[in-house]
This record gives sequence, structure tokens and C-alpha cells, in this order.
Amino acid sequence: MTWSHFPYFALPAVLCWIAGAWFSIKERKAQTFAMTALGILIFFAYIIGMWISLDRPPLRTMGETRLWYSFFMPVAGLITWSRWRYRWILSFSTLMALVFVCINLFKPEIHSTTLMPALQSPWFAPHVIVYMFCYALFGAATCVALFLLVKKHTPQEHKTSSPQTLDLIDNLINVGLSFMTIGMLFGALWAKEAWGTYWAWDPKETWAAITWLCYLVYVHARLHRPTPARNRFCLWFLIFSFACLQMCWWGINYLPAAQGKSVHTYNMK
Amino acid sequence: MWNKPWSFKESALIGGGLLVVGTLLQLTIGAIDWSLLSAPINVILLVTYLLVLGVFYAMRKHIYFIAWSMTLHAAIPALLCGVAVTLLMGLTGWDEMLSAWPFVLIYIWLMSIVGLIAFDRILRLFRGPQVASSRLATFTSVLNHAGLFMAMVCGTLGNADMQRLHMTVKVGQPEWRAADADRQGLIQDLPIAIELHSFTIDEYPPQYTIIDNETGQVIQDAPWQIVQDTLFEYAAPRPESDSYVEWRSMGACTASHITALREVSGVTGGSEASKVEGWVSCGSFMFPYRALHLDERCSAVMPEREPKRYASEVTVYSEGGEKVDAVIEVNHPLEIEGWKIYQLSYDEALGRWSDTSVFELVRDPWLPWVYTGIYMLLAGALLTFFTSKKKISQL
Repeated sequence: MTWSHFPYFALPAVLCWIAGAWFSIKERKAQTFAMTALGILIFFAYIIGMWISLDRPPLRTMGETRLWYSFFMPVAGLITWSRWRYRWILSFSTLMALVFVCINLFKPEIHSTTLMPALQSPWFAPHVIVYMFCYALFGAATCVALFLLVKKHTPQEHKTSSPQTLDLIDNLINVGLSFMTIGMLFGALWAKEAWGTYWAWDPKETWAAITWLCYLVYVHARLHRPTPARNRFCLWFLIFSFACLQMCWWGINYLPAAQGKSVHTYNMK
Repeated sequence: MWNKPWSFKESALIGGGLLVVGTLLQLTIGAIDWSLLSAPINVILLVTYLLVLGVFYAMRKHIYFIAWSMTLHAAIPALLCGVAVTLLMGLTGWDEMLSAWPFVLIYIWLMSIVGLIAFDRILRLFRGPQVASSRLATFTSVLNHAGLFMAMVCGTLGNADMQRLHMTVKVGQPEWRAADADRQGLIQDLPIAIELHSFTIDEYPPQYTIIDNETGQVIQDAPWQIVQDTLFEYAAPRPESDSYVEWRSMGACTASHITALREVSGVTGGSEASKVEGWVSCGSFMFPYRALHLDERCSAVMPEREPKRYASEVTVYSEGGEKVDAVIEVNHPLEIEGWKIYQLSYDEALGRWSDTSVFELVRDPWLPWVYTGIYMLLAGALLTFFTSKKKISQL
């Protein structure tokens, strides 16, 4: 299994997700679940295939982490849909997954097959997978936040649906922040084994700290008695946090201040 | 402003005030020298800090500032200040921020709030009858706040007691001296000695790429397909010839005989003109690399092989008479008498023929406390996950 097989798995998976999103808008529950889950399985089969043929978890290059992101987006969407039955959540998650599938289709990066010694650790897979799941949840939450910010111009509907939808964002963020904390601490424990220090303020670590603090701001701000102004602040802040998260994930590869300093830029040579 | 009850504005002003005071301190007395905090000063500081926080907490009903510090009105702007100073460091890449007063003062303020909340939640656990679910929420809060407080405060104060030393060991020459990695390479005698028996690098199988003859840049979509015919892991070039022989001795390089086929409109060509064969090698410290000329535009090369594993076979002796045989690898440090020994480097000029291994030796007496904090935070994150799941099902 190589990247040249990717379209044969990605396209059917995306078609299944689109069908699932369509059925969820039409409120046909069994079909929604079946199609979305089928898409997830097809996509996961490709990941497993890559894992076997690379002889290592496909987690090293940006292209490989995008693979997990496109996988976890519909997973997070399906979990959220199963809990709350939001009709539009699967459309969002499908759109996000589609964006990352398209990047991998049209701008694939060099996919090296080797794994340097520092990455050969049992911490590697949990550290990155937990982070990717958290990114997917935060991505979903950001979509909902954007949706609310755009939608708020229709006042009568805003009043009825907004508090409930904010609760949805809260839950996504709470779960996402738990995963982010776990991913970050796994990273610290691993760094101690690999480099001798648990936290070295490497650019990636600095940005991980920024992102973590940002989501802590959101969680604490939402504990406060909500007012429309505060809610709006929270939603905007969520979008800012997601921008910081992008910087942490791939932005530092291009950030001048981080050049040549980070030990986390494995895919750049 | 400053009329009770205080709100976000007061907290934002305190944050701004700390930044101003920090800047003034920075300009007058200069950056913080963390190495001054080595034991016992850091222990005294920690005890004093905890006592002060404890007394503050006890007086929270009498001093408005302290009661207010424990509200979200104080916490949220404090967190935003934390985001701001860390963001500045992230955008500029100034590591000096870590010992800059404005940065440190903001973090002290943040940690003091976290500490007060930790006190409060711990005491709340033991107060009066509670419903089980709210007790669980309080417990989660204890883990999150106290865990973060422990990890951050002990990690920061303990940093001065952490020793990071680099030890260069040659095969057959036991070594007990090491250079301090942080303090100008100061040489120290250690209570442990390392004897290196062998150092090995395992490498991934060689790979072949096509490069531009003039620029040396890799060509991604070159119309050539490369097949490896013969591979010598250890080889030397035959004198006055284009070929290689198998040769297992110091300085041997990896060489292989390859056939390059030119793809003509999707079909792999077989005609004379589109087939080139010959030797390529990535070279070693003794022999140069060799490229195979394919056409006027490009050549085939073997880039340096990527390392799969670095391993040092060692015997470690301690002053206490302990003797341990071990293999030290990346991600597999050896722990002995409070020291952790990491594989750090080797003689890079010699590559896989290096008879030298460089180790990093780390001693961090505060690590158990930091780890306790980290594990509390981990447990807190898991509980947050499960309790917020509960909230989901109640909706």
C-alpha cells in the first residue's frame, strides 16, 4: 500500500461521508450511521495498510498526520451526532475531512519510509493520535463557533438555539482539552526518556503551551455567568485559539523565529 | 475602577502593572539568574511561598484582594496575560524570555491563583456533607490545579539543581569526567564511570534518488526507474576501475550496482538508449561518494543512509561498587544511582566507524515531585473527560 493507492480509498470514503451527511439532514438515522461508519472503515483500512507497508505507524510526516485528522473528523462528528442528533454536524465534519483529503491528494509531501531513532518509542503513537483526535474535536468546535457567529444575524432563531449549541461547543472543548492535556503530558514523559528533559521550551512546545492556555481561557470564561457579549468573546476567542493551534501543528515549520531550532520538524530537511 | 466588587478591569490592570514592574526590574537589575536558586535556596523559597499562600488563604475573608484573586474575574485576565507573554515568546523565538522579569512575574501571579484555588479545593473536599457528583467535581479540580501547581513550581525551582553533563567515551578507555552542558563546559569528576565496549549504528536500507547534474537538487518526477542489482553493505572502490568489491574493514562504505530504466510514455523502455547501469555509493570518511551519470540532465545517487538505531554497549561502575552491563540507546536511557544516562552523539566524521560515544548524564532530584504533578494532571484530564461525558448523557 502506498500513497498512489490513496485516491481509491479516499474517494469512496468521502462519498460515504457525504451520503451520511445527506441522510442526517434528511433525519434518516440508520442510513446516516451506516454510511458514515462505512466511510470511516474504508479510510481506516487505508491507514492500517500504510501502517503495515511502512512497517511503522504513519504518524511522521505532515501528510500522515493529515491522514489521521481526516479520519478523526468524521469519528468525532459521528460521536457528537449520536449524542445530540445535530443534523448539520456531519456536514461540517465531512467538509473538514474533505479539505484535508484534498490537501493530501493535490499537495502530497515527500513521504519518507524511515523512522529516526528518537521517534522509535512506545510513546510515539499515543502522543500523536491523542493530539490528532483533540485537533479534530477543536476543529469541529471551531466550525460550530463560526456557524454561530455567522448565523447570529437572524435574531429569533439565535435566541432559541444558541445556548444549547454553546453547550455542544463546551462539551467538544472539554473533551478536546482533556485529550490535549493527555497528549502534552505524554509528550513530556516521552521527552524525558528521549532527550533527558520533560520540557525544553522548544518552539513546538512553546506553541503547545500557548494553545493549551488559550483553551483554558475558554473553559474558565464559560464557567462565568453567560451574557451575550461574553458568549461572543468566547466564540471569537475560540477562533483565535484554533489559529494558534494551526501554528503549533504546522505553522512553526514556516515561522522564521522557529527555523532550525525545533527538534519537532521531522518532515523538513 | 477599584470600587468593590472588583471585576476583570482590575485584574487586567494588575497584569499590566506586573508587566511594567517587570520591565523596570529587567532594565535595572537585569535578567533572573536561575542558577542562584540551587539548594537549599529553592527549598527555602518553596516553603516560604507555600506558607505565604497558606496565610493568604486563611486571611481571605479579611483581605478583599485575596478573596477576589480566587474568582474568575481575576483568573481569566491572568490567563490572558499568560497567553500574551507566551505568544510573544512563540512569535519572536526569544528564549531569554524565560529569565525575563515580566514573563516570570505573570507566571508567578498565575501560579499563585492556581495555588490558592488548589488550597481551597483540597479543604472543600473535607468540608461538610456533599453529593457524590459534586465531590467528584471538586476532586477533579484538586487534581488539575494542585497537579499543575506542583509540576510548574517544582519544575521551575528544581531547575537549578538539575545537572546535565556530557561525557565523551572512547572504546576501551573508562571515563569518569564529564563537561557541564549548561555552565561553560566545566569539567567535573563523577561518582560513576563508563566503559565503552562498542558503539554501533544500524542503518535503513539505502535509497536512490535522481539529482540535477548542475544544481544538485533532487528531481521528484524524473522519468527513470531504478533497480538495485547488487548491494555491498561494506565495500571499497576497486583501484583504477569503476566498480566496487566487498571489503569489511574500517572506513568501508555502502555501494550498490544499479540499473536505471527510462520510462517512455508510460512504458518501461528496453532499448539501448534508455538503460544505464553502474555503481553508486554514499561514500564514507575514507572514500568519496559516487554518482551514476544517466543523461545530460540528471544522475542517480545514493544519499547518506538514514540511521535506524544508535547503541552503545557499556559497563557502568559506581563509587558504591555497583557494576552494571547495559546497552544504552536513544529512548532507552540507563538509570543508576540517581543518574540517567542517555545516548547523545558519536564521532560524526567517522559515522558508523565511530569508536567514540557521547552520553548525556542527567540528575534531577526534584523529578519525583514534578512527576507527581504530571500524573495528577493526567488523572485530572481523564476525570474531566469522563465527567464531561456524563454531562453529555444528561443533556
